[in-house]
Amino acid sequence: MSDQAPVSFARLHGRDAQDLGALHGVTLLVHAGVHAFVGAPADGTAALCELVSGRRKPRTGAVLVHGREPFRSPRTRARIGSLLARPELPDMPTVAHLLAMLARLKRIEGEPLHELGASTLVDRKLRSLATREARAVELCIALALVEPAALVIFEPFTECAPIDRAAVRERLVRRAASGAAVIIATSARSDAVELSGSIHVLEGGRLVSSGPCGWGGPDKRELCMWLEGSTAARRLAAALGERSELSAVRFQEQREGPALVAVQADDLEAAAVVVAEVVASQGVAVGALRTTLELR
Amino acid sequence: MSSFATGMRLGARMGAARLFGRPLLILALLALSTSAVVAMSERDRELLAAPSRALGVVLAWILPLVCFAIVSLVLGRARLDECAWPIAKYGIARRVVSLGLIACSMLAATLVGVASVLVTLSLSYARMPGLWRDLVTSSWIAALGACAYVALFALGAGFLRLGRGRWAALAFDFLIAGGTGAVAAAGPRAHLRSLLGGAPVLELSQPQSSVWLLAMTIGFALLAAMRAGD
Repeated sequence: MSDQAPVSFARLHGRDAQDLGALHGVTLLVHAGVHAFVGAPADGTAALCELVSGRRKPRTGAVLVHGREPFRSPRTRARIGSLLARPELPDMPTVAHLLAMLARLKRIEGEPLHELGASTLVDRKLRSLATREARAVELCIALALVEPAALVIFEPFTECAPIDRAAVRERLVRRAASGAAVIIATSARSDAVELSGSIHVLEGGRLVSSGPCGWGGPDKRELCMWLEGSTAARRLAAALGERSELSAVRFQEQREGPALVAVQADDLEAAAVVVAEVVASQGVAVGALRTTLELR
Repeated sequence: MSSFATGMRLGARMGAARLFGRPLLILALLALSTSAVVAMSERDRELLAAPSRALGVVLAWILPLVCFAIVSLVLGRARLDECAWPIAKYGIARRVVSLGLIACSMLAATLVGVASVLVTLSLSYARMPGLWRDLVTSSWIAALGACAYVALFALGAGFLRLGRGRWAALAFDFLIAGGTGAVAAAGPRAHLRSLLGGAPVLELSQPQSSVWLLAMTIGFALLAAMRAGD
């Protein structure tokens, strides 16, 4: 695996604390930039956020942030900003006390609530905050982190208010530009497209497609492969997802018949070479192969 | 300030915020009123033996239940490591935050435990001499016992989903740790009984039992913190 990627998953299995969903064997390098993981909590988006933030320990496999496991490394957690499915703020009298404590610990900089449109919450008692308000406070804190290695944000615009959407978007992009891996987990495809440079689709806890621009429209050229056995196809899709030469990878399990793995790339000939390399390295047998302009 | 001291302070502060409120007040009133009822009923039965008998009931029944309730109030429906997460996510080790939570619980349990002893002895002594001396001795025994129980239940809370391991620790104390053998030596109950003049554990003297209790407090608390992890 490349050392440049701030976050990496290696055959990651794990559940979230509320048992909403699970991840099953996700392998991926998450480079600096904004990455959207699209799927419902039952598809493992909540679990993904909890595992990357260090809230939960992987059942098997590993999640590494700058080479360290967030669950076991407090120093790494200090550089991960997180907004999880359920807000969990420390018990302090008011939001201002919490911000002052974090500023004293040198974890955050600036006045995040003022900068991100949540200034009305500063003087509120923490216990009086509704869930959406507590999530807004957590989001502001996550985005104000000093030199973050990663930001893990679960549903940034759902049940999270008051918040200045444009300011949040701008801050996320700025953090990504400064070298952080920004991971957005959302079930809203529109949020993913709006925020993200890369879209990864989670389905039933598995990564089924991955690419810098998400899956393009029908005008994009594609290379399709059919494989016997969904396990081999899934493994191939995960390995292809790590190759930067491909703009998108898609995996589709068929109820009957072989599983489909499709890739998109600007240069389809170069993509074919990459696919051949990955197929050889994974030792999977491709039953059929063809290019198409219309897959869906 | 070192990150250890900061983490401890924040953990204790979080514990206090969860603990000090109406539920603790109700718990304390319940403990004190039960202690008073026990003391008065023992005084009515046999005046001379009333203080030691009432104290025996308070330390064997009320103190462990109070400590269990306090640990449950601090942790809620969570394991010890999960409970530490709201602070641990900002880069402080879970074990340090857990130690702060445990320390705060110990303080609260000690206060309620000593107050229960105070009420019990005051009411059971009636006008007999020797109250103050007994009060001082029994208070530190109750304080030590409270700390040991909190540490034991905190260790239990590091196991099973939602920290249900603390129920196993409570069951161990009530069902198994009441004897005089090696198994009983692993829990606070038998040592507290010995300190009140009851049967010794493993033929240990009273000073030795008090050292065991202290070692148990430190050992269980450190094990609980280690179990909470980084």
